[in-house]
Amino acid sequence: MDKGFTRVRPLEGGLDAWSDAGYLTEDETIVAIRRPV
Amino acid sequence: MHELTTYLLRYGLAIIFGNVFLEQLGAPVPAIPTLIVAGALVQQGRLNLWPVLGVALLAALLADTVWFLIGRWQGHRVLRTVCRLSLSPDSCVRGTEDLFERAGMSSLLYAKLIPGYNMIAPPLAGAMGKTLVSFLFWDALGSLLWLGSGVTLGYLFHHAVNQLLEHLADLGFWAGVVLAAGLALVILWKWWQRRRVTKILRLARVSVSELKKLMDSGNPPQIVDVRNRSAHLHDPRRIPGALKMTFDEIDARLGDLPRDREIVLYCT
Repeated sequence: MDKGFTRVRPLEGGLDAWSDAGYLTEDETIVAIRRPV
Repeated sequence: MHELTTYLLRYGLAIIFGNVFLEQLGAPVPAIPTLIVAGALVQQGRLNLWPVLGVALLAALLADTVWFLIGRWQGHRVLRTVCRLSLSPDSCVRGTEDLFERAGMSSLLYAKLIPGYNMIAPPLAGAMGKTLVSFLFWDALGSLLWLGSGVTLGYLFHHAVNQLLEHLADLGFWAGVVLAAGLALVILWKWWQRRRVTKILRLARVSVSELKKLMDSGNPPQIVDVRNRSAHLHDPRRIPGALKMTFDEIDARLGDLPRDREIVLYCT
């Protein structure tokens, strides 16, 4: 993954840590319905 | 020798049950040495094979069922909790999910022989909505394979085991001290190793608060959701703006990723 990319880092704790911290998430099924194909 | 053997014969089944049960619950008390000693005693005709295998199997199934039910109750979140005990929580969750997705319930046959997967497979089966009957069937077969291999080792190498027991018996009270010190050293070594690797991994990661700051900045990173298919099915949430991409697709879709912005990946 270092093929010319500025910086690549994994998120500590993943999605659960993100939502546990109270930050917003979006539902990918709802997003898929709303976005026109 | 006699005192120690008498003790093992008197409380052998209870020790085997307690040891297997605690290990399967996650305590750092390896049961294989106990099973090897039991195998040597079976070879000498001092313990019966079937009660040994029976109590050990019961203990393993009880502990595994506890984890299975916790997995069913808590879902995928329990995997993160269990994987916190491992060296790399993210790769632990991903690796075990991938393995379970590929092999299904039959992976319980050899789960106990793979360090790490042993602990995660029962709650994973529960989280994936498998039936208790099917879980008990595969888990019993896998447990018998694991328990049987320990007892067979003791049976085959009974001379060496007896010599070790004799040495320990000669030490008397100090045998307990030596065993306790050995166990303490194993736990200390694992703890130190885990702490060292966790420290290195933490340096290379981005925390959620740092990611939020980066997202609110003028040059937000591109977030990539690289969770596998089953994780998406069980939890359709994602971080706003995250690009969905499995690990297998990364090489083919490198062109979709910006080279002038930082990339932040999450895989659990």
